[in-house]
Amino acid sequence: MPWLYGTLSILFFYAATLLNKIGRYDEVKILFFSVPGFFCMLIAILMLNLCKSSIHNNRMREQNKRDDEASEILESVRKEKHLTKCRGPVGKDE
Amino acid sequence: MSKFCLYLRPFEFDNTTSYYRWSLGSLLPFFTVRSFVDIHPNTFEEAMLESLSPKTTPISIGGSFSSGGPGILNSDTDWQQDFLDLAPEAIAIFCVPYFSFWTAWELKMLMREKNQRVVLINPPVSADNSEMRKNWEISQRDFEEEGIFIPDTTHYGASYFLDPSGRCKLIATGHGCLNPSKFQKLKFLFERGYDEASRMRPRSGA
Repeated sequence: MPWLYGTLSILFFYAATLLNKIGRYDEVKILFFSVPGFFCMLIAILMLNLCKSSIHNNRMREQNKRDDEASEILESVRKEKHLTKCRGPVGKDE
Repeated sequence: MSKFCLYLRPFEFDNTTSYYRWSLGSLLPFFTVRSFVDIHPNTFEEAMLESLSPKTTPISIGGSFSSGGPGILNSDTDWQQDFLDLAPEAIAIFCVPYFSFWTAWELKMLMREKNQRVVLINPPVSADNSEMRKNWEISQRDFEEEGIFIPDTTHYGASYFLDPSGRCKLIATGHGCLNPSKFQKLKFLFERGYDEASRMRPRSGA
């Protein structure tokens, strides 16, 4: 997405310079009056994307933690199974 | 060892399949706004994680990686061994009955071992979702040939115990059908085991 915002901004200023050069001052005014609005929108979209990516990163971190926990549980189940196999069923001979 | 429950996840998993979505019914407009930043559970796995993780650790075997789901054991080669090791120790085994050869194998294995902690889930979907209904009916037919009798689908969502004879017993209906704090039967399953849980009468709720 950042490349899209960048291209849009460059196009915007290029259009303003071009209109200024050919003497279409009214259009330049309209264009420049819309600049604050354009940037507000740009910043809002950027902020939203930042929020989304931070939520996504948090989720990925939690997911990794859960995956590690899953592997640990599997390991401990296997270890316990192995121990039971070595010792035999608990309490049967006693 | 900490308490855990097992989730039988298909290998050809696709989060976008309507079979695995979790519809929020009348609350949808409100949650659609929230979904813009991806907060609410909108898949079966997210709903399961939200309901069960305070009580147990949900673990799934198989399938590709997706964020926001239970812990995944990515073991393509020895997943059958993982399944056989974990199933007897899990306090509950969850499955959405979407027919595949290996899901049928897993369920038949559990029935053979007389495992009574198998919970089948019918995720709630919107009432006009004909794709889900069609897939459910196909799966119902295929499972029947394997000796597993899946009940008719309901768009409200439901959870069932699968007993070793292949029949299903209703646990709960409604959007909270996976929520142990809402349904005593699930709470009992987690705290006191299947025997006491199965003696309780099913309750419905949204």
